Amino acid sequence: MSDIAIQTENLRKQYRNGVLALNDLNIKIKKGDCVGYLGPNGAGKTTTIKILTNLIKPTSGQAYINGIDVNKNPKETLRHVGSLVEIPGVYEYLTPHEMLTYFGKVRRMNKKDLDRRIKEVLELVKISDWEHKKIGSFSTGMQRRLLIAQALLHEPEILIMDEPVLGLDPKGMKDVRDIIKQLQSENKTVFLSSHLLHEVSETCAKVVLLDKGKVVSYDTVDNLRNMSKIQKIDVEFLKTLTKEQIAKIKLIELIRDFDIVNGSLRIDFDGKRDTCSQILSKLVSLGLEIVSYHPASVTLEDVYVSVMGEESGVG
Amino acid sequence: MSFKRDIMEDITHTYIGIQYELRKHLRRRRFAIAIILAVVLPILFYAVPKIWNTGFAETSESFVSSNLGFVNLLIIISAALFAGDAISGEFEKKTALLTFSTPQRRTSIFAGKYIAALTAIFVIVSLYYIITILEVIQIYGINNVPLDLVKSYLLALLYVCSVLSLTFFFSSIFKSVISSTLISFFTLMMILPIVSMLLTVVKIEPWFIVTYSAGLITDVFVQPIFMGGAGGERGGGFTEYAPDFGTGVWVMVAYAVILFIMSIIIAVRKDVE
Amino acid sequence: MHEIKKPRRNMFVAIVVIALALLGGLQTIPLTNGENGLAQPPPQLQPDVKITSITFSNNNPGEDEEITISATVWNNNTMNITNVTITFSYDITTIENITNLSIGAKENMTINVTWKAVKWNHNISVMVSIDGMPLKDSMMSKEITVNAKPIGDVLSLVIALMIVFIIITGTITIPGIWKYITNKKCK
Repeated sequence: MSDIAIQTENLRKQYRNGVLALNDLNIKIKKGDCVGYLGPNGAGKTTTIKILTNLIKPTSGQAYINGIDVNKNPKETLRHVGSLVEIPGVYEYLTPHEMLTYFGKVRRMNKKDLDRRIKEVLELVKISDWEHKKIGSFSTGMQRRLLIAQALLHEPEILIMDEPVLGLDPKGMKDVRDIIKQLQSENKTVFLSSHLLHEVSETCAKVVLLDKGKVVSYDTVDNLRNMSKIQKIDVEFLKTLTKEQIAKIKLIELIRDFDIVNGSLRIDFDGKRDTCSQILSKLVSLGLEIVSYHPASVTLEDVYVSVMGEESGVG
Repeated sequence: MSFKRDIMEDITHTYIGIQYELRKHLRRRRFAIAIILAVVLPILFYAVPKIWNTGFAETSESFVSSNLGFVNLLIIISAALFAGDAISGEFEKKTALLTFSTPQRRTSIFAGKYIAALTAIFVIVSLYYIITILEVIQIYGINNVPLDLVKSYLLALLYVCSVLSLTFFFSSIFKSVISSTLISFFTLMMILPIVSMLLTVVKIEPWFIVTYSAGLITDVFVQPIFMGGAGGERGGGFTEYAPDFGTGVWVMVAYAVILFIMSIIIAVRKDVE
Repeated sequence: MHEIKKPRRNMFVAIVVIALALLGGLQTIPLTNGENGLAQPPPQLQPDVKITSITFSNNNPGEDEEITISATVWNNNTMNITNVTITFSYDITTIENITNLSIGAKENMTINVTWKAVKWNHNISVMVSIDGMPLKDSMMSKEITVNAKPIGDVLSLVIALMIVFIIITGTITIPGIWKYITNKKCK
């Protein structure tokens, strides 16, 4: 039995207006992995997710879930998938209970399990008080929570989500994060696309970086950070820097770039230890009172910006 | 999955779709509007002559024929209400992003919608006929209820199928609910009748136009002067035609079946962009 | 020379003219033998033949029903007439021509024809012709209303509806059947 949950082979999608959304995309996601799917607008993230969930057909290539071609056997593949794609419309004339009952029945859940599971998922997304109220009266955030509940209803092996926290308040975002972490602990496969890099880095161990329909990078977050050419130093000063002091810092040639964040200085440099030492000496020579001087942690955002800025896609 | 289980599952999915679609029709005001029309229209044909004291038609056939003249309109309005957004609504409102990513075939979803709309309109048309029959009993007595009402009713049901398929077809083509609903409505109310009329002016019988065939619904009671394409000249150069039964029935069947299949094929192949 | 006197000359000319006229007329009129062996005079000189009544075996038949149309012809002449044709029509369409009839002087004759009733209102007319010359004044018409056959039948409609329902419900199962067939072919 293959350990690959999601796979695409030379997946290509060209829309009728000529836009090439996916350009021979090849990805493999192992069972139990939690993978973030990142890329700029128009990279092809939603297109990939739509193909995997049988919402659109590829121009060429194949997409597999648990080794079964999604295009040829959508019924069988989607049985094990819970999905949330873009911002779906909801059935405003139904209550959450009725809507979830529909999806449960479609997935052949028996009545007893369905009723229990409806209560569980609504509790999980914190809208159990609204179980029998019409969805038309819900706020955007509540509707989003309901849609997440719908994706989790049948305890799927694979969860595919496109911007799951869109429209949610910070508490809601945290709840979704916790849900994803719980799913990971249950060895479920999670494939989620998001623009909120912080959310992805908090939940996903691996990320796929996509640009212009091609995979730019696919690795663990840690590896990406380590391999990143970004090197930063965080410097904290006793006193707030004056304009004259900032102007003097600009003149230090070893500093490529810097940002002032909450009174602290974040310096970009070439990553060499010598350079790091020399920059420290230069700053001290300017008469600046330094409280702390240490390498900064590279965020996923830093990686993303760095990688997307360099590459145009490596297939 | 075994073949038998697969088929049974498809049938189950269709059944679930029918249930929820009927629930939607019941909860939206559209069903109430159609019911009101189905009740008020025939009652008007009874109440107005009664109030004005002008008396009713000589025979129950004539009464029923004029009363049922508006059942065509009711069918067209009902089809626009229940099926105008059946397919286009899923794409426009993006509920397709939810329903199509489930382990059910799109044919099951759409067949369920069609059958639900058919059921709703059948109920409305049946109500119209029941009220008409009650009026006939009241005016002419139970012995004068025309037996041709059965034929008329079955013809009306067949017309429902063809009108619904046409509406479904437009719903599958257009992405906008308003476009599909309005175009269906105007095609049936205006475009096809106008084309029929123009064809008769140039002495071509419009046998292939479904709204022309719908004339059979009342023709079964009081047949028009000219029948079956053998029209004679009247003053002004107009030739009048009236639909032949066999041809009319098969035209309605053809519209119902062909347009339904086409709409399903288009909808199944459509991307949810 | 013997001179013919004027009055005798005029009478002579008149006799010659009449004789010539009679000779010319006799050549154009076929001589027939009536019952008494007498030749028939030209019809235009005998307008007194009329249809006096038209009756139907059923005054309100149904479409395609065969009814008998009876017409009574009255010969008001003092001579028998032969080579009589009675033409029965509905509207402008001929139903039947009954030919070679002979009607005695001052006698009636009733002629019957069968007609397969054509639906709706029609004007049944009967006219006499003698020697192929129609006597327009002899014509008589009568209206008849034929009830049209009922349109259609319930069975056809039930079958038509069943066809539609079977095809619609068939679309539910066709994808599954197709998948099964294609999978079997692949194996």
